[in-house]
Amino acid sequence: MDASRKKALKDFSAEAEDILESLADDIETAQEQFEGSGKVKPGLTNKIFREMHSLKGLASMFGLERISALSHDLESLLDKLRLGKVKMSADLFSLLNESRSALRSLVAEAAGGKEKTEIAALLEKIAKGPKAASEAEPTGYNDLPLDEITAKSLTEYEEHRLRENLDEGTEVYGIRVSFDFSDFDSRLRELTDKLSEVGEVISTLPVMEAEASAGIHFRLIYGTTLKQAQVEQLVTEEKGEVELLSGRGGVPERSASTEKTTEKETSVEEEAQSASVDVDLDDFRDISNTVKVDINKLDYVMGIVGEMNLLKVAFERLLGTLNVIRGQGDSAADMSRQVRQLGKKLEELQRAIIEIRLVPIGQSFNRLKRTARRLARNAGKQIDVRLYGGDTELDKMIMDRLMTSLVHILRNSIDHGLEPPEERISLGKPEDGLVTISAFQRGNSIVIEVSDDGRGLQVEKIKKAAIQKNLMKPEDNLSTQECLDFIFMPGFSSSEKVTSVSGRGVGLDAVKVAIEEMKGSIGVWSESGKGTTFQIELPITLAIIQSLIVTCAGEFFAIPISSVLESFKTTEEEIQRVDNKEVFNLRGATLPLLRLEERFALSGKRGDTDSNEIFVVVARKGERLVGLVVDELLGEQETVVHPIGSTLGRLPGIAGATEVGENKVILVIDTASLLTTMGTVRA
Amino acid sequence: MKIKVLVVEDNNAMRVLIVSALERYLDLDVYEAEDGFAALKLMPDHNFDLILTDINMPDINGLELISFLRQHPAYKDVTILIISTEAGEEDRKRGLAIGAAGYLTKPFTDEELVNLVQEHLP
Repeated sequence: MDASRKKALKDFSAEAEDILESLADDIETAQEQFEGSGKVKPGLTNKIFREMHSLKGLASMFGLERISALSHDLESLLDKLRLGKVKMSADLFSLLNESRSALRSLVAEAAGGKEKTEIAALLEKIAKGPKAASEAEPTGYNDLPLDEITAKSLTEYEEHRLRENLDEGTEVYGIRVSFDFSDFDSRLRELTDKLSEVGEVISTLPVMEAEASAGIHFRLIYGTTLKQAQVEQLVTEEKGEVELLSGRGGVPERSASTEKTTEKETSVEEEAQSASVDVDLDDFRDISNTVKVDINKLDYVMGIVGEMNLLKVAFERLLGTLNVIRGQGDSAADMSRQVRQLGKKLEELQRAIIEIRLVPIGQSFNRLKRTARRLARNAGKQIDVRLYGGDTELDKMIMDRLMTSLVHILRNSIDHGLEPPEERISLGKPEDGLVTISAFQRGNSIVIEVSDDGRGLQVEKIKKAAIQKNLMKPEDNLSTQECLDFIFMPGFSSSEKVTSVSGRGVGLDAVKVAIEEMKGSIGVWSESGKGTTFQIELPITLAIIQSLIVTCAGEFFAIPISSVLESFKTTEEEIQRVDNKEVFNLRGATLPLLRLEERFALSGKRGDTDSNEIFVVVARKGERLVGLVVDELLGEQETVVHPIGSTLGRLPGIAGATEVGENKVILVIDTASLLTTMGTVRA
Repeated sequence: MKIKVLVVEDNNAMRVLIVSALERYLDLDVYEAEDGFAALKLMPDHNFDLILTDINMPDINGLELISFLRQHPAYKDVTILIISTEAGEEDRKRGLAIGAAGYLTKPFTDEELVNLVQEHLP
């Protein structure tokens, strides 16, 4: 195989893998819908068809015969399905799933140069396939007052959807909306999403307006059981004009105005009510009460609140000066009260903004559940996935970033943790492996746990691998927990065989980095033969953190309060040395110490050079403790953490920078990465 | 001035294949749009001579795009070619009925693509 062919095939398999991935998700969702209601949402069927269509197009361009042949036949089958010429059935799903796994093997083989998986039997099955559904006579389509241009621009599929909507007794509306040209795509997609929650957007036609004003206009064909007034309410924000197209048994109602209510319309409404499912009005209100906000806008507002906090601090300092001036005491006291009030209000505002950013974790949980089931199927394992704490709320930004990590942990549990069904039976375990994903709030953090009841991590195997990789010496006497933590080291994998699913490059070290970037921590517990639990702890929001401001060698630092356990004053004499390392005896336990000035090679002098007093800030990361030695504690403050520019790269020990007081920028300590670079003690 | 061509196709790999073939064999300025919306956004700033569009796309499909362009005074004369499939015969017919000048059926060779485009260049 020549190099360019090789590269082309690599491109192909990357793209094909993406398609197969979403195909798997969508078939799974469709199956759930079908099992739940006996129906699959038309949009979803169409999406599956389009995915198969893309795969076929690709495979044929790359001259991959078997993938083309199989996806071609599947495409035709799905085409009939979306056009209602074939009915959905349980058999059809098993055929789709079987075909999908054959396609997956073929794509993997194609990357290696030759398609090997046999498809003849599958092709035959597809050909014999599901019986054609008797096509019902179209109702009303020809009577629709569609203008010629709209009618001619409908694809075969859209025409079918229009007929189906009419057959099912749904009302069909024409909606005319106009947008500014600059952002019409996002706004129209938003509107389409909103409408799709309570109906089906059958067609979206961009149109030229006669009076060519600025902007762009669209005509949507919309099928729904909602009444005209309700549809009008849905599109008030966009100033949409709604027209009922499916006025059955009478002259089609035409109403371009959103206010006008005529007697005639009422009669059409009554008719609509008898012909359609009644809509839950509460549900409906909820939709129109919701405003979608770009999270960047919230970040911006949050930034302003952070700056206002700094102004408040400046006020407080000024007040200190005022107090000194004789005769101003009363006014200063008055003002101080007002400043305190301002502080309270700012706190409230902050909390309110944070609340807007929070979303319940449940929705993403369901996606995880589907992914888990799919991964298990691929790995030839059976699982029972249980979800707890779906209503726990977490910052939207964190949630999105967290998903990749959770999927990776799931893969680990399913591929390496859970035993195959036969093995489980022989061990006396239930045939289905149990995977539990739970979330709960702990203080200002959210804890997410992924547990399985599989074979557990093999400590001896991990030790062996760690020795091989020079991470420890055979004579080192490490605790079980310390050994388990090796799995988060870069490049560490004790797994002997790499499966197609988890062998994808990202290891648990990447998960750890991602979690720590979000100011969180990850830990693992495991019991041989009983299972493994991963625990992730994350701050509820990243936007603002409470920090302890300290000084050391003349420099200021902020330490996030979330990682501070306690702090105390002591003297240099109290510090002991063990193995040439500084430690402190904290209520009988040995606390390793870390001097910030040594860690960051600071040469400055502390203000009061003759003082013997030092402060120790006990920082915590997961279950570990370290004492940070500093010169002075200045107090707590709300800080907005800004990332440091890329020129400085990722500085271990530094989370970012923040502003305090009069535009002074100080560094924020990242205890997690500070701790990994030194010995620590278990709490 | 070079001739300006726009390729509208939602499948990334397919779009790359088409664009690279056009660039390799013909001396054209080739623009790409990943869907109908992206195509609409490109329209005002570029005076395209020819547009190649897929039919089955999310948001607005190829037929809707063609129909819009045909109504628009500024774009009504641009040559439009359809990238179609065997299964999409009915939609291809509809596209030709509302003003597309020609079509390609996937899978096609670079040669077929280049020949068709060349045939319809101004």
